[in-house]
Amino acid sequence: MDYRDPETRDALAAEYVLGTLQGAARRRFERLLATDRSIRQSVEQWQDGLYPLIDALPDRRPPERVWQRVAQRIGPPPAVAPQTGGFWESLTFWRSWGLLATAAALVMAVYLGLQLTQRAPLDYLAVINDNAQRPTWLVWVDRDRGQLAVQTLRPPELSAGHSLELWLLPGEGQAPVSLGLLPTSGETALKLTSALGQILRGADGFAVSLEPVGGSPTGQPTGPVLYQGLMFPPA
Amino acid sequence: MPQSEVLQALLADCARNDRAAFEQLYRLASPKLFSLCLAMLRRQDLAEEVLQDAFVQIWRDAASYDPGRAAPMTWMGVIVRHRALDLLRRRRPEVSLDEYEGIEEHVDSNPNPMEVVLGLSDNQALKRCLEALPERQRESIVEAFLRGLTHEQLSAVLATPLGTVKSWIRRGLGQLKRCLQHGLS
Repeated sequence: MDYRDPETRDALAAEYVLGTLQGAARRRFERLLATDRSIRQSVEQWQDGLYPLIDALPDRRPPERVWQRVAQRIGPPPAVAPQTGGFWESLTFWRSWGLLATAAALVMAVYLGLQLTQRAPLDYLAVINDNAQRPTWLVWVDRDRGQLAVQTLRPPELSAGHSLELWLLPGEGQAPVSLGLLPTSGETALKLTSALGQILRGADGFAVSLEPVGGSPTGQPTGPVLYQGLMFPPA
Repeated sequence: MPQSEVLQALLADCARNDRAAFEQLYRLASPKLFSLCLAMLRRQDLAEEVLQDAFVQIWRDAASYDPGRAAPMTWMGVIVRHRALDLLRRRRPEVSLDEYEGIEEHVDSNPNPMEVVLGLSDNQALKRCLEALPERQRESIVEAFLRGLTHEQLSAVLATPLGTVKSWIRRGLGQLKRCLQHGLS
């Protein structure tokens, strides 16, 4: 085999990309690849040519555990978490909100005319505001019933063909978790499982996005974030 | 198949440590890439392992991706396929040819080469050029690529002498190259 002949080298590059170059021949070729630019170009051309075959494979969704392991392995995000893109950029509270003390939550609840005797202030988790900072929903833990409760404070605007979906933001750059669709009046409740309780503990807050009727089809927010609420800090 | 431009933008974001973009990249690209792992490794557990390792590498190497040099799915596909081939080569001595005869049992749907080629979009030069190949050459190339089979395994699976299989592949690749280059000029 004449390695100086460009046709031979190109044929080797093709078989290398195909995967049929084996054993000693492959190792010899890999050494060449490390030092020879024209061979690297050959390989890249063959990759460009052959890899579109992947296009024709049927879609196979991997089980969610694969993503979870990938996410764990890439480690926690840096301390200053500059999230970018779509959903994350619309979360303005990273930049403009101060923290609300639990006492302030109390004041808020009084202002909103809520019945305080029924709920201890420490159970309030967040107030979810619209983009004009008007309180729209109040979220709290109902320990007696083991539920996460959401009460509508002012009726949100909602056009036909849409729904409002509530997301918990677990923090640390993790993907938002859907808590279901929000009502435009009255109260709604979500069962507080121990799994949800675990995530709640360290969560940053809540966001509400505009979705099609029935909620996001993808399991992640697809529409704009119209409302947000920072988690009250623990007492 | 996710758009190249979208994947390119997401990879650029990954290079800036954007985890939300990385998850979006995973959601868009993993169905095809997992399908590739299943086709090559024929076992769910091994396919999951390779996919996981590949995406960790994709995250780590995102800054080195150069959109001028390869399409995003090619760049990611190379990472996945190299790991899958690596695993196949390490396991090969233990695996008997019987396992390849039992291919159908491991993966619920096995794309056959002609279906695969038909599955390519019409405006792809690759589809035209593969269709122009004699059937046996096309079959050998598609099986080698998508399943990671060696010459010896192809020889067994296609029930054809080793020398013949090698020449099908060599000739097939040669003709493919001329066709693809012709398409570009």
